[in-house]
Amino acid sequence: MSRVSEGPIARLLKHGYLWLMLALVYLPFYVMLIISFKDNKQFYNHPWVPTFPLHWENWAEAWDTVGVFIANSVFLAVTATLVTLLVAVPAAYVFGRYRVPFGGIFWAGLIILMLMPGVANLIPLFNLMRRLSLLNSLMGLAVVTAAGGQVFCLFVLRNFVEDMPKEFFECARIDGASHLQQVIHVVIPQCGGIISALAIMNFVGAWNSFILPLIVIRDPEKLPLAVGLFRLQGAYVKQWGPLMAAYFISAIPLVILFAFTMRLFIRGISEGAIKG
Amino acid sequence: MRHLWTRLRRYPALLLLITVYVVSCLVVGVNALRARGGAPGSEGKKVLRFAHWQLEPGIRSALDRLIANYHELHPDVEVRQILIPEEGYFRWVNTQLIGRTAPDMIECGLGGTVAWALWPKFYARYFMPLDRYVDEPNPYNKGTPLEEAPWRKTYFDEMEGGYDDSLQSYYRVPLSAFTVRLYYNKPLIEEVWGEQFPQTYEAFIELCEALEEHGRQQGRRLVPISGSGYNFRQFFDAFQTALTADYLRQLDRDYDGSVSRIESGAAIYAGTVSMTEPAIRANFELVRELSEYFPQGYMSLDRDEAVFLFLQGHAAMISTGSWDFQSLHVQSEFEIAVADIPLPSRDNPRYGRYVAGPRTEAGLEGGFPMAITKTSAHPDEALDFLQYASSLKKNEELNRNMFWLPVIKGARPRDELKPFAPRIEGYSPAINYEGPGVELTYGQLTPEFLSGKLSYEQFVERLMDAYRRESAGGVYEYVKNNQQTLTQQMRFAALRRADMTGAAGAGASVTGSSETQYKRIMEAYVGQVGSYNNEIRTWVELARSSKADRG
Repeated sequence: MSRVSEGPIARLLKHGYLWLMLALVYLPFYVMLIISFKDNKQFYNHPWVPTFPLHWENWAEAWDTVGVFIANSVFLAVTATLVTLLVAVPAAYVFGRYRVPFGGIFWAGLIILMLMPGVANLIPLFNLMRRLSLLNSLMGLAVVTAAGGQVFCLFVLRNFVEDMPKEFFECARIDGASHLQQVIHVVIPQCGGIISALAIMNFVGAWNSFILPLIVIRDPEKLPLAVGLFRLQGAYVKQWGPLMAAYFISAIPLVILFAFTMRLFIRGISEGAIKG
Repeated sequence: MRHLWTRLRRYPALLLLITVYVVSCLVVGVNALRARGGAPGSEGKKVLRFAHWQLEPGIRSALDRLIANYHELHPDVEVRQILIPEEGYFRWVNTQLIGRTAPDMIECGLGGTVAWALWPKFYARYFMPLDRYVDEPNPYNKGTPLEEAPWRKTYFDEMEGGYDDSLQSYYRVPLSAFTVRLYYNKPLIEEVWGEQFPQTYEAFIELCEALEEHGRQQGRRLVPISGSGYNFRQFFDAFQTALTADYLRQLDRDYDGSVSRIESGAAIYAGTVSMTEPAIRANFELVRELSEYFPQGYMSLDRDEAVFLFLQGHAAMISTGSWDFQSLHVQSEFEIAVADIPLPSRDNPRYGRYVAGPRTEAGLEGGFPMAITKTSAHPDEALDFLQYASSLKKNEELNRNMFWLPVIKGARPRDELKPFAPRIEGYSPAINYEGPGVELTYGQLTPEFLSGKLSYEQFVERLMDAYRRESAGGVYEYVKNNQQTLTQQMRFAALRRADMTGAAGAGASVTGSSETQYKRIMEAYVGQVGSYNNEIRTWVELARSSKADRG
């Protein structure tokens, strides 16, 4: 078996397959990049190959449009992720470690929240935000996004905390650790992988959120990226060049994020996969 | 601090994230401060916001020009566009209205079938009725032939596009009009066919054959007509009216001059009009014949894909509305011309004897309608802005810039848009195959029939199965919805009367004109109840007779 896999044909097949996979994965990027330098006429006539002249102004237009949206999205996604984790990790510690009166009911309530489709809540949520004066505010949007995101985080983290050996916590308490210190020195290091994975998932969720920001944010300069990108689309005609340039620019932060955090993400989602 | 820096240096990604986050916080903070201070130059001004889904740069800039001109006249008013993508438009409008944070003016009408049904309820609850103003002249028409005319009379459709039948009130101010035609690649058609575009269906089919042959000879992909589920519907409607217009007399049981879905559905359900009758069969067969010249699987293509095919030169024609005129012209590398969809001539052996004539556009109503919200902080200014936009000169200018058709009498469209001028002569649609409850099944079966997966007999058999199975439920839904609408209408009429009494002062009698208006609403209400009862009676009678026939 090992001899076959090391043979030149097998290696060629293996590498060929990998190259094919890579090509498929990068095809959308290629298409985005190529189209981002075209005007609509070039796009309609030669969509798949580079055409000249290159329309660099598409990138300038795209940057002018999405530059501020990227800043808004970074603010929204990072704030929402931080708030989510700040609330979810201690809550998971409580639910995972202690039996509190009506804990089961609280837990069931949380799970029900997770099962509720977000769109069904839209109008009550909008009214609530209006009463709290959170409309047209990125901070308000971040708080609501965090409130929605923490349910899933809590659901996942609680099980991880529950599965941790009790001895860890007992040792910490013998050493005089408070609850907060137990969270910081025991829970976070032990659940680092899954917390990172959840952070990335929350970040991407907030980055891509569309309907809530569309409804809540009114001023154009406060729009996050997902909604802002739609501004480049027309109801009857789309300017494909600037649109693709904007998509490309908006993908860059996520690519950087994944490039740096891939290791943590894989570790997080594979944690608990092996018994023992 | 040094210790922290040493630790952070080991995590470049974290460092990068913190840096980007800090920069973002600064940007967001600066923007928030600016927003609190208002836009530069807007201090002390009345700000009017209007929301619409026309996101094309051409439309946006045309509206910006209109706003700039208005601003010159009214420096104390600032008008801002809020651009909302079509995909989330209805949801956005819905929440803003319910949350009472809606802008001053909103473009109405979009949102799918359910949402269409909801609009009247929205008008009554959230929008300002314009009845008080439509009978007064538009002040911006001063010095024009329309100077003395009431505002609604300045519209080509007498502002029907702004009128809500169920509420008996004017709520919308239409700004443009739209019709559907056939666009074609002029150099290609001239090369293959000649300068004169086919005037009859027979010649049109010959042209399609010639185009296919031309593509084969050149060894390239050439589809005669570009299409999608969206574009095809317009094609289908043109032929459906032409071939089945004679059914009007038979199907219009309440003699109101039109055939409702209930009247049509009841006749098909009861068998008084059979789907196998030659004219109806001819209608479907003609459309299937034409389908051969559309791209394969076109019913599952979307609108962008159909346009893409046409602009790439892979399709010679496309059927779409005047709203696409500018975009098609700007983006194409070839000259585009516009023609009517040709109908079969009277001597056509298969279809000729059923052809009545083209579909009339006499009932065309104004589109791109704007309505003023009740929550507007400046309703008078909003009304003034809409009157400005619908004045003779400005409506002409706006629509010339947008490449759309104006809606005001005497306003001239661009010369290029003349082929889109509404066709006054012609026939009204007389039959609707989508009876109550069978819409979904009809929508599923039609593509199967058109693609040749089902024969006409199989198509009819399955459609009639659906009629027998689903139409009782459909009629029940119809009755329920109508009852709700009528109740709402009654309540609305009562509320308006109360308003009128209140306006006249507590204890005062209702003024003569108010009483007349109230009577008008009640008369319309009674008329609608009558029409609705007739429809239900039609259904019941036909359904009974059908059961009796079956034994």
